[in-house]
Amino acid sequence: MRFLLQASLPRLTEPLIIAISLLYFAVVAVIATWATRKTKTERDFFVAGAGVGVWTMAIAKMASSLSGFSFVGGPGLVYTIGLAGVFIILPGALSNALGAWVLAKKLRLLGEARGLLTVPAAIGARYRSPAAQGLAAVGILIAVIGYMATNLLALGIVIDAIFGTGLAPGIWIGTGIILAYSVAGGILAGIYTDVFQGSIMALSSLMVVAFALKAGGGLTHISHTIMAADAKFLGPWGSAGPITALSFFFVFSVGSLGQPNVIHKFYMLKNPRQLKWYLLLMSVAMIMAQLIYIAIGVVTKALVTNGSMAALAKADQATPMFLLHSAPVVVAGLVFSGVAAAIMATVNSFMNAGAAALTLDLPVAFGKKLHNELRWGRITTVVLAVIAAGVAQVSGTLVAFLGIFGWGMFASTITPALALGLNWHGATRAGAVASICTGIGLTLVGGTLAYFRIIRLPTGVDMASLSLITSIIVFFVVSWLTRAHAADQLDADIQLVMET
Amino acid sequence: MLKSTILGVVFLSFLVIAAGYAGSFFDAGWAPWCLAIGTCAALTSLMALGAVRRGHITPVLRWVFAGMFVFCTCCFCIPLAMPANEGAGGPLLFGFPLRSTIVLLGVAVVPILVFPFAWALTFDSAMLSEEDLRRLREAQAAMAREKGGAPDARAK
Repeated sequence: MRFLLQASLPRLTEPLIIAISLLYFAVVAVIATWATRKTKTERDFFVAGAGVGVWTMAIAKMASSLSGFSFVGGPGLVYTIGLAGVFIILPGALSNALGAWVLAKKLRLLGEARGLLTVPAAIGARYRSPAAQGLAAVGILIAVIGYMATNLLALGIVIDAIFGTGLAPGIWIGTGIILAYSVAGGILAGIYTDVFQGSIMALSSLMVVAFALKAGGGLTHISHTIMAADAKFLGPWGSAGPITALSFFFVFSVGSLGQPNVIHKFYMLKNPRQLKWYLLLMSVAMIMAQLIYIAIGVVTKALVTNGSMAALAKADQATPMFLLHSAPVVVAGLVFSGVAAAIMATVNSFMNAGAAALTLDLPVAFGKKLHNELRWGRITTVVLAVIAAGVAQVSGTLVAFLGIFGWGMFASTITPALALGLNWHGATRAGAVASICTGIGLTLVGGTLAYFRIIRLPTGVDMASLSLITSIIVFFVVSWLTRAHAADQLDADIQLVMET
Repeated sequence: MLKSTILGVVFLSFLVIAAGYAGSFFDAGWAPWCLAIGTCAALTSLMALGAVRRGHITPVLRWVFAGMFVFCTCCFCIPLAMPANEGAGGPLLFGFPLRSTIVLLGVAVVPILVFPFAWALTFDSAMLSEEDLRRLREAQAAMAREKGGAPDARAK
């Protein structure tokens, strides 16, 4: 995300790009308006009425798990450090399967058994612990603000590049558009716009890969060109080394089990038996949308190496410069709509996750329940979006700092308590609370100290990975030490779900 | 017993990953090996943990998880062991440098061809059949009646 922040896209104010982008926003508006009319209860607002089909769920999960980073920052990262940058998306093949076996069925059935609407609520139900639920909600809130701010900044950059609005108005226009359908229709509107947005992302990604291979003269030619100039770039660990690559692989595979914007969508599936085809659909959708990530980074490197393209001033210019150099304007327009789509789908999911944490989970931790949760869900969505947009506009490099550890915060606070806890009868409330506190504390304190270089970590190691591995081990050790209480903390209906 | 064994493997895998991170603080040559082996073991053992039902795992899934652990680990460890040869004129496989292709095949291409089909083909027998779902909903309804509350509206 640091790369996304540094983005300063070239002007894209071509009439055709503007027209395609306007068309994209118009279609989003139509879908959102249709879906908004169906949003009548808090269940519609937070889990799309639990009435979604498997195709819709798979595409929406793909759209919300890929942010603008996949289209702009990611290719820039590959352009800079070579194949090491690919290890952020490479675990997708394994992490989708991991989510299926470890969480999909259990979360879906738990949601049905208890009428759950949020991920922290599943943790609260598993351990019969409002404290664990509240702490998980705190972790989500902190991470959500950072993630949303980073993505809103990226959306502002894209809107400014296409329409020439200026950065600050771009941020607020983008925030306003997402708010319009997120407040009115909640996740129900979000999930159906996600389907359209995910389709745009996959289509534009496939088209770019075709143009990239053509521009580079085929894969073999691309490899020979780069290998002659930079031996490490196409090596298995890129120019960043094996620790960086393998650390990415660990965090983005195991950590995927703790991303609330993605796993929350299991609650929305109408028929749990449809999960049978979920993994296949999700895998195909992810492959299609992620090809752009590696293709642009590698081909731009080859084009710059052989002198066909000028060297990039900043890594984030890889995607726009490649498109303006090697693709027809209509494809460029589609891809920039795809970038906006990726950002908007992600922000909508985070808005909803944050609003749910504030409206549903935190009151439970204090033994209260809000009246009219739908209205409060809408109010908190606006509040969170305004805070995040304000942070994006005024905080400079701090926004990157917040965004960088968002993934680590989700992973280290939710993965052990939820993913391990739903598959281990011996897990305890004390283990869950200890691991969540470890995740929040280490990510916040350690991340801050590392960011300001007060402590120095080895090359390739970041605080997100250290927080994740530490919170998992704390979870195991504390659960084992308090194992005498494990059986008392597991309700019969939860046990039934875990054993089905 | 099976579940306890798998849990032991999961815990051990995470300890190996932790050792890898600890080793990276003093530049130990074995640190990347620990991260590679530990992460592959953690991923496949977690999947196996999720696939345990009533103390058993469908035999075909045992082979899938064990086989994919060995395959993915080898696809990380072979490139770690091989000398770097990505300079001009280095060997290519499928248009990419040899060591990189081994990694890409091992942790991306083959898993994406194996896991979705293993999941779908064993879903009815090993994950959730119509009968499982009916029994679960009946049991939940009975529990709700015992407590004096109504079962969830969708449990029908």
